[in-house]
Parts: sequence; structure tokens; C-alpha cells
Amino acid sequence: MSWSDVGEPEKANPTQPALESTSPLEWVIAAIGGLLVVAAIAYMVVFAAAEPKRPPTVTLSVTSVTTTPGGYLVSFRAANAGGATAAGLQVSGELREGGAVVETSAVTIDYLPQQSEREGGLFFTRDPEDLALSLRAEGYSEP
Amino acid sequence: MSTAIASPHAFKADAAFLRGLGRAFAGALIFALPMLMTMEMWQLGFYMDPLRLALLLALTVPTLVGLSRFGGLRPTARLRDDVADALVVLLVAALAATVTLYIFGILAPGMSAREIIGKIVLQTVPGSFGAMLARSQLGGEPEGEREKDPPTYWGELFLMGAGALFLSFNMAPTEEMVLIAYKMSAWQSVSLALVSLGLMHAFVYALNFKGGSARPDHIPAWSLFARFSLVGYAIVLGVSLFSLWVFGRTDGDSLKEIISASIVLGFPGAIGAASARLLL
Repeated sequence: MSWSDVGEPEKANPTQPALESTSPLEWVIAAIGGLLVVAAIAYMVVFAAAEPKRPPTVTLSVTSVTTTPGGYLVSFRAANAGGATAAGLQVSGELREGGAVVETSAVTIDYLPQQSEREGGLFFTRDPEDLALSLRAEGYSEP
Repeated sequence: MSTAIASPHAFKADAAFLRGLGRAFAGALIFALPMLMTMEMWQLGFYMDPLRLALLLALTVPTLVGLSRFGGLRPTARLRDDVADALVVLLVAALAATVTLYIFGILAPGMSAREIIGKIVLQTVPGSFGAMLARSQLGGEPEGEREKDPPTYWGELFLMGAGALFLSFNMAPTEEMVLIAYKMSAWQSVSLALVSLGLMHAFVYALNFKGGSARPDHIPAWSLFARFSLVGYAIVLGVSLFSLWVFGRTDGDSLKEIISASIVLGFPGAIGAASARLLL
């Protein structure tokens, strides 16, 4: 392309500011930059090739149950082991007493990216420790 | 490399280079901050198609090399120096993005490598543009002899494309582009296309303000319109379509909505293309 040949070779004229050439230090930094660019591109391509569009696979685990002024807080961690992001992930929790559902609570996680974790919490008025607590991922949309 | 390592100028050159790095860092922040603080950009980092993200980063390198020809960190002598500059600003932009995203808490433990790398790579693209343009935006040493040569026709078209990308990249990831396209009727889309084209022509070739191309008297107006404004607007629409596609904003949409969204994004793109000679 013609616009790429405007540069002229360096001149040995001391009064004229010469066109700068690249110093060894800059080449070192350029090389690191180049390596990172190649690595990032390679990573994305390998990721795309290795991951056939597997759907989101969500596992929920309770991390803690704490008492709050209004009742109880069940903190949980949602992990997505699948190959796609779940958007608007609905997580619900149920408290059962002898098979009958006595309380439910729900929350929406905006985004749960592939291979990543997000944390959230559900509030209950009854003590989850005394009852059977179950968490369930109800649904998501594709981003 | 013609600079001898032991030369007395080596230290001065390195000091100038480090100053240039600082300027590039500032430029990366100035241009990328709106995107670093945009939710859609974080989310696209992990859910956008990895192949499109790889393509975007790969195309950024030659674009930066081209920008370095016309602006960049320093008056460069040869093409390989432009390549060096392009790689340096990419590193600086990646660093700026990583630090900022980490401080914002957008990068956190529990996130996969894919999520973290995706978020950083996506922000590195606009940041590297800003870093490359830092010299022309934030001042610096005057150019050597290079700016006396005006860019060729193809150079002008390249600059227009880069200018369009520069402005439309801010807006392409947002939901609003597609939303505006949904809200507009076909007539409004046509009007917007005509307004964009008219503004583009007016901006550079009629207003002829500082940095704009002076209209040589011997070239008829229709020729300038056809060769620059019309071709330029076609490039703008192409850049818009590419930006929308990269971010997955065209997936599953009808042809009418895709064209309409390209025209919507082409509006800022046209302004960017027309002012490319001022910005870049």
C-alpha cells in the first residue's frame, strides 16, 4: 500500500530531528506485547475449538446460614461447569417440613459465565437448620 | 536497529520512550474509560464468541500499524518501527485495562481464565487505539518531515475507516443501537442515512476547518463527493456492520433490522470518519 512507504531512512543531519528508530528497550517491550497478543488469540481459538457449545451446567452449594434481624440468610455459590454463559439465572430455595413445602425464596443472577462462580443469598423467615433446605436452578436465557 | 546500545544518546532515547509509554497509558485510559465503565463490555468479555474476539484482536494489530504511520507515539522511520509501536501500545493498553478492571472489582477470584482473558482482551482493543493516538491527542514533540506528505487516497480511506471504528466502538456494544433500530421506521432509517452522509460531506469538505482537506479548485465538487464522502460512508457502514457482528448484535436479526442498526451505528461512525483527520 502506498501510504506505508512515506518513511525515509534516517538522516545524519544533526540540526534536523531525525526520524526515530526503535531502541532495544522498546523492542523488548514490543516482543512482550507481541507474545501476549499471540497468546490471547491462540487461547481464544483453542477455547473455541475445544469447547463444542456445551450448555450451562449449574451446581449450587450452600456456603453459610446466618441469622439476620428479619430471619435467616442462606448464602450460596453457583458454579457453571458448562461451556456457555447463563443469563438471568433463576435460583430458588425451598424449605420442607415432612415433605410439604413451607417456605420458598428466589433470586436472579444476572450472568453466570462458563467455568465461573457467582455468589448470592436467599432470605427465609424460618430457620433452615431445622428444616430440609433445597436449592434449585430454574432457568436461564442465552445472553 | 541503527542505534548503538553504548551510544550517549541511548539514555536520552530511553527516557523519551518511557515518557511516550506514560503518554500511551494516559491515552489508553482516556479513550477506554467509558468502555471500562460499561457493563455490556464486561459481559461481552465472557459471552461473546471467542473466535470473533480473536479476529477482533488480530485485526487490531494492522490497524494500529496503519495509525502509527499517520500519528502514533513518535515519528517512525520504517514499517518495522510501526509494528514495534503497535505491539508496545497493545501491551500498555492491556496493562491499563487489567489494573482498572481489577480496581473496579470486575476481575475477581472465582472467575475462569476465559472470563478474565476475555474481559481484558476486549478492553485492550479500544485502549490500544487511545494509546496510539495519545501523541496527537495529548500533544508531544512535533512531527518530523512525515506530516508534510499528505496521505494518499487509500491512506485517506484508511483513516476514515479508523475514525469510524474509533467512534462506533464506544456504542456498538450497547443495547441501545439495536433498540434505536427497532424504534425507527424505514423512512427514519433512510433519513438518518442521508443526514449522516450529508454531515460527513459537510464536515470535512465544505467546512474545511483545521486539519480538514482543503478542496482543490480544479476538482469538481461531485467528484469529491463520489470519491470521498460516498465511498467513505460505504466504509462507515461496513465498519458498523463489522462492529455489530463482532459483538453478536446481528445474530438472529432480520436483514432489515441489521441494515437499520448499521445505519444507526453509522451515524456516530460517519462523524468519526469525517473528523478522522482532526482526531487521528
